[in-house]
Amino acid sequence: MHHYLLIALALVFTTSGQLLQKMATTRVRVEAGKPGFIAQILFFRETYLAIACLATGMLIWLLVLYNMEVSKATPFLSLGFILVTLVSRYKLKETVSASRWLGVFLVTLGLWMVSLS
Amino acid sequence: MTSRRNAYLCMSASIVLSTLAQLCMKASMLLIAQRHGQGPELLQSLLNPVVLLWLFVGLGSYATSMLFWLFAIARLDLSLAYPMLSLSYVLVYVVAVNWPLLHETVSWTRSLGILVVVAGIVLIVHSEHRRPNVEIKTTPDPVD
Repeated sequence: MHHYLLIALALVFTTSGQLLQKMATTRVRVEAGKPGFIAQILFFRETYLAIACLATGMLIWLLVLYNMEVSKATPFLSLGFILVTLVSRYKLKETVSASRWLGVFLVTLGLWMVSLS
Repeated sequence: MTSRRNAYLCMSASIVLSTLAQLCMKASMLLIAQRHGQGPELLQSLLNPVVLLWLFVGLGSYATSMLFWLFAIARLDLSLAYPMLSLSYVLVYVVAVNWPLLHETVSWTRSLGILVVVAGIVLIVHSEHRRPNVEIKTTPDPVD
């Protein structure tokens, strides 16, 4: 049972990392691709929180793989696509159309099939 | 060129580079396994120039893909960009079953899963182009 708790934790940290990355990039006032972009993003707290979350997510995921068969664990990773869409919708207030949701579900389903076979 | 178009270019670069990264890292590990197995000579075979080259190209592509990813999400919705990243899984699969060095086996369920992923991405990108408020200037859709 606690393996699934670890998988859930890994997903939460990875999703938070993606969210914080996005929040950091939207604070940058330099156009993406220009040299000042990276210089500026290093000044935001969100950048370092994002790195911390992604690293923690990765560590927990390694712990999952240590305790569990890869083929049993990886299908759950595809749920990350649904979680990221949920935080985009409710935290970042993005407009997620019905077809975008359907696309996200297809991507999740497809990756689930790939990792089960 | 609109900034949104630039964002799509960054997105594509990020996807291609992360695919390259996975494949190069896999190739380097495979070469190590072929040479010496995973015994005590692991460190020695890690220092082999061919292995090192694959590994460095792999890690370099990985770092560069993360940079392009940041450029992409600065302009695009996260709920649009993130699922598009799964295109990298598709590319990895296509190369992994066709590249003689990796020669991974084709499985029907896996191929079907890959097709479902592609369908999802096509749906997401296609619906984006039909939204009236996007900046991209496309030729008028004959259906409308």
